[in-house]
Amino acid sequence: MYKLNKYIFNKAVLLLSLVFSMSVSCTRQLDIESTEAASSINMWQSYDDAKSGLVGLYGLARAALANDNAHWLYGDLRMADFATPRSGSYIEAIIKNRLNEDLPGMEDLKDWRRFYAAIDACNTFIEKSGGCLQDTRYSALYHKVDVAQAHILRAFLYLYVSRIWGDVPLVTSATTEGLNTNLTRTPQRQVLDFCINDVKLYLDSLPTEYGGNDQSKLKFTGPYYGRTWAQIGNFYWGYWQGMTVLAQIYAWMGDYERLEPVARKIWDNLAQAKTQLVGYQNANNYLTGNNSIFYGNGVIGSYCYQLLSLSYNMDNKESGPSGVGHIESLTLADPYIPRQKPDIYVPRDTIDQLFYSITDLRHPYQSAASSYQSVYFTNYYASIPVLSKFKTFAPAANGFSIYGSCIPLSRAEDICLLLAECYLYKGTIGDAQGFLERIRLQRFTNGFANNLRPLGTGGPVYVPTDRSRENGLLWNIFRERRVELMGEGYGWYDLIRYKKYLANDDEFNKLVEQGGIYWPVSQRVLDNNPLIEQNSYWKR
Amino acid sequence: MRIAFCIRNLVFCQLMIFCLVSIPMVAKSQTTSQESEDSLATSKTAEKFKETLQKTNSQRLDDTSSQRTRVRLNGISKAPFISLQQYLKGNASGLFVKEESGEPGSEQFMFIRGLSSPLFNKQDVYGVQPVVYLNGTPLTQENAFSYNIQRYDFNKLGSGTNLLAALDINNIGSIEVLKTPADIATLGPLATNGAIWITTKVAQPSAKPIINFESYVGMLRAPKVKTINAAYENDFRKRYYDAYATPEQLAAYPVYVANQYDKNYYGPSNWNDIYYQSKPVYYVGFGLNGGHDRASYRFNISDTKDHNFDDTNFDRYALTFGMNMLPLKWLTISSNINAARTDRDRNKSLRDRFAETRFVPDLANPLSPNKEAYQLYLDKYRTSIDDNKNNAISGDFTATADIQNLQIKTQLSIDYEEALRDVFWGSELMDGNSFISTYYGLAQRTSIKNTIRYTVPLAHDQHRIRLEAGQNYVSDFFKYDYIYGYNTPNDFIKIKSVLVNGSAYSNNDNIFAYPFSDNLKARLSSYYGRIGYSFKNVFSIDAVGRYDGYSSFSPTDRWLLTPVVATKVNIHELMPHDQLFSTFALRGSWGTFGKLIQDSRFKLGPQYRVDLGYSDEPVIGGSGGYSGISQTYSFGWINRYYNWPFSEKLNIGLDLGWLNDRVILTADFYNNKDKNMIVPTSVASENGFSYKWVQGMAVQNTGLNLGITADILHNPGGVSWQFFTNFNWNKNKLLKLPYDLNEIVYGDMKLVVGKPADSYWLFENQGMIEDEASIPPGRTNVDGTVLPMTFGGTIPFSVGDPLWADINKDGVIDQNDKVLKGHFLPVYTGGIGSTLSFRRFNLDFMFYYALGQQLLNRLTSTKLDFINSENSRDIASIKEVTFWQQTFDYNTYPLYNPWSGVIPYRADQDLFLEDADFLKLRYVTLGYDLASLDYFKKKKIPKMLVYVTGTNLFTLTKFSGGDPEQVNYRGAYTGYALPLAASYSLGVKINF
Repeated sequence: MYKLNKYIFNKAVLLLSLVFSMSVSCTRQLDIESTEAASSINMWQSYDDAKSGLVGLYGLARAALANDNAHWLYGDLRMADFATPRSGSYIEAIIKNRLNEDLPGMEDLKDWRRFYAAIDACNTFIEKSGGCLQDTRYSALYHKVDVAQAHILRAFLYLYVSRIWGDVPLVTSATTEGLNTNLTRTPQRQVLDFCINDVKLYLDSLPTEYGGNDQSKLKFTGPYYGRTWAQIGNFYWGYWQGMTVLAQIYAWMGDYERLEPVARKIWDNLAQAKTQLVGYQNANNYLTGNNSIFYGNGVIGSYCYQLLSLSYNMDNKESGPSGVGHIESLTLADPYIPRQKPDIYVPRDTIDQLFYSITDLRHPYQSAASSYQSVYFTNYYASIPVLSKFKTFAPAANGFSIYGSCIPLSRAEDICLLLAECYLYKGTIGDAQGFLERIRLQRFTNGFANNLRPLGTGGPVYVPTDRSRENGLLWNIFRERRVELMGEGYGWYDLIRYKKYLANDDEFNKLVEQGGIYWPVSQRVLDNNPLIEQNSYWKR
Repeated sequence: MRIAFCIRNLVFCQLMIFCLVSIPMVAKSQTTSQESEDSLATSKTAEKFKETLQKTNSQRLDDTSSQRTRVRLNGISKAPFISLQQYLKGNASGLFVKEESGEPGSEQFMFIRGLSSPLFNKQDVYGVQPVVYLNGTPLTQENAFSYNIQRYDFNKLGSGTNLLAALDINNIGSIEVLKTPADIATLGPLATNGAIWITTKVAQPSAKPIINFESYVGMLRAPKVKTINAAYENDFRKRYYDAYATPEQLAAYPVYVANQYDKNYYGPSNWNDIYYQSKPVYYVGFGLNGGHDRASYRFNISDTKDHNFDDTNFDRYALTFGMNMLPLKWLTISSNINAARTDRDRNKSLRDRFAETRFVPDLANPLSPNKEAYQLYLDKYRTSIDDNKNNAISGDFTATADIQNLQIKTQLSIDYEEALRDVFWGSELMDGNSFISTYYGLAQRTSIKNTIRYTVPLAHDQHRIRLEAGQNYVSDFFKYDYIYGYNTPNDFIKIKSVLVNGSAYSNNDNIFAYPFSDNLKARLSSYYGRIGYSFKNVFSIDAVGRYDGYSSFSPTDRWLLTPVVATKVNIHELMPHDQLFSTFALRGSWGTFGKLIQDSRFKLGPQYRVDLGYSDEPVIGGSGGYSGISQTYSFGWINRYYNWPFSEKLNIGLDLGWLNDRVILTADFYNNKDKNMIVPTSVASENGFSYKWVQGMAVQNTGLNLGITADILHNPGGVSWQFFTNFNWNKNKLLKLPYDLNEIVYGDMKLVVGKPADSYWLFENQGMIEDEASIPPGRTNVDGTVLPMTFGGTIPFSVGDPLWADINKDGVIDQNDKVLKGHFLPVYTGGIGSTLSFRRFNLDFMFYYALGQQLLNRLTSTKLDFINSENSRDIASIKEVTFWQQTFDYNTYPLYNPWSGVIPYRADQDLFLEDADFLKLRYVTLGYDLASLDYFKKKKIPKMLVYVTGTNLFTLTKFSGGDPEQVNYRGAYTGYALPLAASYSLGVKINF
């Protein structure tokens, strides 16, 4: 018995001491590697850090523009061509320029935090990504190109926020532990000048294309982060995207003198930029199809039709079921998705005013089929026509609200029409007409001054008509923009540029002078930083 | 990682070996028990063994009896309740249970001694939950990290089953609610939010195996609802259209309300016939208990079915096996294994479905109130799948060595909970598409606990010195895998199809799916030492020093040293001739406890994460085909260092007993200060970060827990009446914010120093602007003219708008005019119950109440704000079929202009703040014990109880809109929850 006792006692002691010793070693086990986040101390040390940091910049910029469909709510609604069937909603308030209202959904649109998140990410990338050079896989050239992209993207973001809020704080260094507390609004002009200089400074550090045959002095050829040009398209912003950003800045400033050479250079090098105008042969498919130029990265064949965009990689499931972040979530309804009415639509009156030519490939009436077809619009004769230009369903979405369309920022047609404006401003009317006709030619519409014959000698001739000439050249250039770029987030900015160009609308001039063209900033922004003042127009 | 794995293996191995070794041992002792049956009853070893087993295994400092903390279970065990929260509701002093929905198996939350931290979001509720110990095994607690990928926070991702619904009350021997510093001193930071100490029924040696059988069957009572159809809705809306509508607005009148010829909306409103159909609930349990003078075992198996309306069901199969052994005179070994499998049929609400599918379709036309139409809708669920299964297993292995004055105890325990959900909603429900999702979640807690106690042998027996040291290691592991997708090939084939193209195979381009996976680990390592001194039975004092390390704090600030002191003076002993009191003791304890945090990411300091989503698509993590990372802009800036938040707890208790302790009163006053908590503070938006997470918030909870038990009448065989009650008062106050801020705003919530942390933040409604003349003046222009008062500085008030109090008198109604009002957690809670017995009859009943809290009636707000809710694609304003019942009287609300830009019926005003006081009859049960009948006496059946029980039979409340208890974690009454229905049941409890 004693023996047995001792045996068990020994066993118990052994067991207990084992447990104790285990537990002692366990105290070291409080160090747990986190799998879901990386400490900033360990960031910016490798090729992969640079890669994921860089795509993060584009992701954050896209999030800022996509949140609550901000890109279109900012750019396409105010006093422009869209109407809403949802009376009393914040969408109606925006269309009617009643931005002071506090309707649900508006607070987020007045908050610029997401833009500054993307800007701070750019600043951080610019300052910190050099650390990744310690990884030999990350070359100095990669670093140079990546940093230049961060500069271009930041300039674009500043252009974007200053178009919306006017004077905005100019933050050019990364947030540090203390967080900035003394930021005030910088005059818009100063912000834009900063952007212009920044873009110019870094343009030459950018390749003309990624993952392909770079034509710049950098000779940055071969796959970029393991991807080829066909996979990338213009997802990463290169030299021509930088130029486009520059063009957009000048256009917004109304500085046609500086805009012209930039836009001209882009126009003359469309081939190098691997883009082109959408030709009449493909107008229907490319502009309105399921796999239109807006889908994914916009690459069709050897062209990328999205000269400047923030796109969604659909193979990587970068789009979700809410549909938000794609214009389809605002414009589509029956018969495309099971929804009675869209959030926004172009009323028939406006359509009739904009489309002057029955032969127009974008026109609701399709002469080829001798009926009203679903091209730009569906249910044209219903009280609410559906803008079906964008219907880029994800492959398996099957009438479900997962869309693949990008946030469009510019394409060749935009540059072409900007050039028309430039030449009109300069007084070289022939050139201005010529650039307008280039678009009209590809859309089978009546010319403005010239007889258009797009299909060569045997084809139809589109002669100028009263309607195709109504209200003069400038109005027609802007009309062409309204039609061609419908739903791409230009409406409001084009309206401002048009009104500023003419400067003959007293009421609008007053709106411009008093800052009414800008958005009020949210109460949250004002509360968080007492140095920020509300836009004067909305302070009334 | 490797060592954690080793530990897991070790624990498993030990359990396995133990089982293998002990089962034959028990079996063997069974056979021998036949011979020694007679001697067993008198055997000294057996008596001692029984005594050992009876001892409570919780390790409080100041108390040898658990009378004070023990929860009364005899009444509740006869009611058809299924979860721990339900067993404790109103029944335990100092504990408040929030049961938002009657849906069986859905989550319920508990709060011990008030709200120790403000609830910024749903995740925070998980962070203040008490820990539950089952036979000393700390059960794993839900981690809320899957909310990170959720678009809506109504339900937790996955099965969403209440983990504590796995505990069968018939297995439970006792439940104690531990809340004072003395109670939780040796438990440490796990128990800082309080602890619930459950001991299962103890396996007791008995000569003959005791078999017990318990069962009940019951039915729910359908609530009386006043159903309505579109005619009512039309009458209701017409008033507004008549008063305010412009022709344009009139033209937009919704068709389903306007069209009187539509029989779907204007026909009979009888959806409730289907919705409120009742099905039986039942329970069948079977137990076996037996053993020998050296070993005993207990086995229990049960099947439970619970049910609520909307065809919601809950099935539970629970199994328990426990055994105790005394292999040596000084060594006790015991082990328990509890396993449960639960299966839940969830509700069919649109809101919960859309929250899962992350998709809000066109909601222009609500469901029809008509029975036939509603049935047609329900028929669309034919092809659907919604399986919600949980598997839980917890087990412990404990060895206790008692060698004279020395006791060594070691316990290994593990709790493993897995939750599974499979969902498929077919094309009819999904507008022609289909939805599929699969979830697998796992929560696991492994712990090792060792204690050594020594009582110093002193010459005089009057003085005693106790020494104790303990070590505890807890390892938590959580993970989930979740995938959801759209567009299966059809409603029957739910996997990706393969195309055959000649001789080539390719994946079809269907099913657009999103996969997610995440895991989280946390470890807590604790050491404590204790020294105690007592003088006779008069005075005792204990001091504990703890040293706790937790993995989720910054590496340099991981360890925390905290003290606890507890003392007790038995005043009754000092006045031995006192006739008045039979017990008179004063208790006091004070201590500091570290608080754990759920989020394991703070420890990293400033960090990079995947954060490329936006409010409607929070989980997009890729860009350009790669996953992109950035700083935590959406979450907020994370500082370099975070150390332990801690809780300073003080408790002063008084125990009084009269008439030989027939009347016992325990009163506990407490003052808990939770300090150094992490809180989101505002930062300039131009930094890009939404918040900055800073330490330094402090919250104080002061209160009183009072419990009285009185044997008012005590006549065995005659009339007996035992009365019991508990009363709790809690006052909650925000003490401090970081940076000496006076207030912070987070979303729709505001915290102000000195004010309660559970307040609503609201405009004060003062009526209506009836005419132009009564528009209040706003800002004064430079030229002396006065502008009308504006909303937010930009929208002038006009006739038909509400009058809101301009608190700061600046002529503008904005956030600064909102005030903190009311409480969303009750100030006073408690229960009152009695056990009456007369001969073989006994009657148990209990009331519970919660007073001093308010609710925010969002349901009424949404209905009155029909202009905005009709337009909105906000999931919170979805009209369920339950929309078609009258929940308020619209005549009692002012007739505002619903189109006004100021949103007159906005929820954040005190117009919708209503008193939510209530008193409910928890249960009443009448039993009759047949065992004393001659027939059963002859059969030697010791217990045969037959009973009828009614639960939730009535509610006393001022709130007219429904059940004031059914509010969400922030006190909003949304009307989406299933009712806490009244039920009637019939049951038996038999021992033989």
